[in-house]
This record gives sequence, structure tokens and C-alpha cells, in this order.
Amino acid sequence: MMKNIKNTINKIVLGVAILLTTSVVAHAGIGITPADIVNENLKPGASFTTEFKLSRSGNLNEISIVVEPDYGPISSWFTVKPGKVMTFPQGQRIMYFQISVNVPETAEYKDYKGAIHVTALPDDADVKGVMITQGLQLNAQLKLTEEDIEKLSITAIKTENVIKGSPVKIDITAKNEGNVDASPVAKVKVMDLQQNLIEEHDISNLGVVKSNETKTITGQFLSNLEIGEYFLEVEVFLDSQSLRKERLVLSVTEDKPVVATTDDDSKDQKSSIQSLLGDNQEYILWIVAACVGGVIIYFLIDKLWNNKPVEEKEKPASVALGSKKSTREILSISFGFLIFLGLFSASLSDAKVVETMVKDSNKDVQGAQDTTVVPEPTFSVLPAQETDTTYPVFSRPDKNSSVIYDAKDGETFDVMESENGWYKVSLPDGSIGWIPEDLIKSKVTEQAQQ
Amino acid sequence: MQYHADPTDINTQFDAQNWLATVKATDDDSSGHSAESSSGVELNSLVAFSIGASISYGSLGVGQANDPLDRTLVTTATGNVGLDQEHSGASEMCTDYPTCLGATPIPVGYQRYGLSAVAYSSGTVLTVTPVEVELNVPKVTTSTPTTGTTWWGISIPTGIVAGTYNGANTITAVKGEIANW
Repeated sequence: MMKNIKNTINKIVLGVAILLTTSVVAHAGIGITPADIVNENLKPGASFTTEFKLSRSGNLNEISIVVEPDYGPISSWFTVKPGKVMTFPQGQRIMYFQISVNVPETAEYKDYKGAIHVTALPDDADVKGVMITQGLQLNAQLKLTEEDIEKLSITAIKTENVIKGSPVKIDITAKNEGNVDASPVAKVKVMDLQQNLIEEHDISNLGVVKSNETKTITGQFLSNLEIGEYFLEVEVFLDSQSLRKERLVLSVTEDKPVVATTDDDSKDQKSSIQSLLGDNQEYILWIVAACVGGVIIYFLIDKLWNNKPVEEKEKPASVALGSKKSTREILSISFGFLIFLGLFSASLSDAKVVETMVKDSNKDVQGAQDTTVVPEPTFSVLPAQETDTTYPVFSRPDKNSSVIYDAKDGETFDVMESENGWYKVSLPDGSIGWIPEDLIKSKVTEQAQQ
Repeated sequence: MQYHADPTDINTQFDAQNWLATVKATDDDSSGHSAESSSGVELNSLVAFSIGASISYGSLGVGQANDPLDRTLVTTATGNVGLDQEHSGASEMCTDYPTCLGATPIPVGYQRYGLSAVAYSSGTVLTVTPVEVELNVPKVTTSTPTTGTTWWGISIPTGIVAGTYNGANTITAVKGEIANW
């Protein structure tokens, strides 16, 4: 009996070829997109690049990715960036790589079919038995043709809001899958929000999109659009064939003062100083006036006591009136301060101005009904609002005329007369300017709306 | 990772179409208007799957085999296309895999697979060169995963000494024929 048992055990031990004790472990998922490399419009010497997105789930350990073209003799046409062996970094769910196809000049005109294998080498080295390595296959289908093929697709059309008077820019992303260069053109219809046609523009200088290239080309046009929102209907053509028509929304925003841009830091600094001076010009003038007044008083007092006898200068009353330098300084500084206070008080009491700049938000959107009552120029003052918004004051009652002053939100002006929707006003420097009524609301108007 | 939207690129059911966006605005009087984008978006194929990490053939004696094929490997489609797969294996299994400098190895051809639990002799011989298998895992269209199963087995040739043998097989997901999605 014992002998039988021993023989049996020996037989089992000697006969074990494969012994697996580990449980089956499920792999994480892996995927790739796109799943094909297809180009049937190639010519000798052509090249193109496709980007692939590799994704995974579950275990996010660092693994190696191997990309291997299985294309026989033309496998050398393929290059992989960053390389045929890549690292999928730990913790990362997505990685990208590129495969470029470079067709030699000597390539034969025919169809080429093959595949590219992407293999994820497992990191679980402790798994016993037959480890499963996951792979993904990319179908590859290339064709070299003598025929000239135009195949341009427009993948996106975009525009950005513009400042009134600036060129309107249209960005068009085009993908040329043909084997000849393409020069698309565009037609742009500008419409108001009621879809009434306002302007039409042809853009013919968009540029060239080379074969197998995806590129964003930009066209632009000048328009006379007022502030507001508009529809742009952009249609892109290649050889009179419409490729894509898109309707966009364009916002034309208010004018801003032109700020000179330069690479010279010192000029930038100068601009800042000028800007500071401009914003606080009134206060700076008051300070200068106060200083000048103080200096004048100083020298007047000095001259007054210059020829007086020393005994008289030493009297307390004389000292108080500036016979000594220290008291002269105090007196002149005090006088300058009084000048500043006087100017400041005068500015506060200047209450005869009749208009207040208040932004009318309805005017920014076409189609909105404006119920503002046009005010007569006999008003009282509204409190000024502390904002950075500025409004243009024109040299003539014409929005195409030059802007001679940037009025602040809440700034007030004397109205000299009104004419066809424009107010003739007196500017702080004494000159005359014109303000369109759509930038103005009087206090009366504000109350009427309440 | 699940991705159900139908692809519209080449070699798909809808390669002549694109995905379009429709926006409908409705006011409080239930009056509305809808508009559709003039040009759509090409949605690329995503070939994706998950699969078991290993095949355990169990304990076998010399001359024994998994007969009929009794080890299963489940493939789950997680992309937006139907799947087939390719099978290939390292040239040999050995006790010191992957260096294979020790005991006599087991050549890859002793592993066989099938689409059901067929007899070992009827199974397809595993090779170093990838061979496509018509697994026909349907495209995922709901939250319920679609799967395909392959059955595996091995035969232990004579001259193999006792020990634990390891190896590696590569299972490659391939975009299936459209008719089988």
C-alpha cells in the first residue's frame, strides 16, 4: 500500500509540466483612435502625419508601448514619434503619438495595404503561466495615384469680437486631403439680428493650404459696422464649389483709445506717465498753482523784511509775519495749501453742468427697443460714477470724424446746442466737441424710466 | 472606458455621414425654432477592449492536454466598433521565461485555441505570426458590455521535465467587418 502511494506521488511530481497557482487577473482596457491610416491621394514624394490617441483604464502602472508597421518592404516609409518604443507614464490614462508616412520619390503608383501593430507590454511580471499581451491593430491603406485630386474640407470657421473700426477677422481651419495645393476663398454676408443684409465681402487672399496639411488661415475685411451684434454668414469655396457655410455671431464693441505698442520699455514707461498725467491732470494743475503761489508769497515777504532793522525783525509780531526764514516758509506753505483748498472747493461748487454720461446698455444690442426720452438741455447734475468706461467726443457731429476727447463715465458737460441727435458741448480745455445722443441720458430721463 | 457613439470615419457603417448638432430654442409659450449645424463632425473609430491578464492551463502530465479546450479568455469590446482579434504567441514557453536558457521549452505550437470547447485536435494551432480570428464581438450600444470568448488548451510533449512553465501570448484587437457589428 505504501509502495503504491509513493509510486503515485512520484509519477505526479515527475509528470507536472505546468503548474499555475495564480488566479486569473483581468487586464485593464486599452484603446486607440483613429483606427486607420488611409490616404488614397498620394503622389511620390508626399508625406503626411496622423496623430493617435492611446487610452487605458484600470491599472495605471508604467508600461511600454511598441509600434510596429507590418507593411512588408514599405515599412520603412513609416516613422513613429516619439519612437517605436514608448513609455506610457504611470498614472496617465491618455497618451498621444504620431505616425508619419514619407513616400519616396521612386515609389510605384499602386495600392499598398498593411497594418500597424501597437502592443502594450504587460508590467505584471509576477503573473505566472501564459501572460496575455494586449495589442491593437491599425489598418493602413495607401494609394499612389497619378491623378491630381483636390480634396479640401473645412473643419472650423470662427471669428472674434472686434472694436468698432477694426478689421473683422475670420479664422478658417482647412484640411487638405488631396494631392495638390488648395487656395480657398470666402464670401461673407453681414446681417443684423433681424437678418437684414448690411454688407457683403469677398475674401480672396486666404492663403494656400498645402497637400496633406491642416492649417488655420485667416481672412479679414474692413467694415462700417456700428457697435452692436451681427450675424456673419461665411461661405468657403474652392473653385466655385461651396465647401462649408457657417453662421457666426459678431460683436462690435465700443471704441477704445489707441495705445501705442512698442518693444521699448522706456517708451512704455513714458506712456504710463502720460496716462497718469492725463487721468489726474486737474489735480496736478492745482498742486502746481499752490506751489507757485507759495513761492511768490515767500519772496514777497522776504523782500518786505529785507531792508528792515534787525531790532524790528526780532519782535514777536514781526517773526509771526515772516521776518525769519522759518516763519516765512510756514506762511508760504500755508498760503499754497489755501490756494489748493480754494481750487478744490471751487470745483465742488461748479454745479451748472447739465448732462451726465450714463451707459445705455440697450444700445449695444441691435433689435432692442430704446425707450429713452430725448432730453432737453436744461437739467441738474447727476452724481458722477467712478468707472473706467470712456466715451468718444467727436470733432464734428459725425462718428467718422476724429475723436478729440475721451469722456469718463459720469462726466458732465455744458450743452451749447443740439442738432440731429448730437449735442454740442464745451470741453474742459475750452474747445468744442460733439457727443451723440445715444451715449447720453439726462437726470430727467433717468427719473422718467423709474 | 465606454464609447457608444457611432463612428463616421472610413471603414464604418456611416462613413458617408457626419454627426450634426441641432439646437432648439423654446419660449414660455411653447413656440420654438430649431437649427442644425451645416457641417458636422467626423467621429473617429475607437478600437478598444479589455481581456484577461493570463491563461492558466493548470497541472498536466507529459502527454496530457486540455482536451477538449477548457481554458477561456473573455474579450470585452469597450470602443465604438465591432471587434475581431489576432492571436500570436512567443516562440516557446519555459521555466525561466523570457530568457529560456534552462529546461527544454514547450514550443508555441502546442497551444491551441477555438471559438468553442472543441477537441484539442480540432483547435487552431497558435503561431508566432498573428492570425486573425473571427470573434465578431458586436459594437457596444448599451451599458451592457458585449463580449466574445475563446477556448484554449495545451498539450505537453514528451521530453519535458517537471516545472512551472511561463510564456506570453499576444491578443490584438482588430476592427471587425462592418456586417458583423
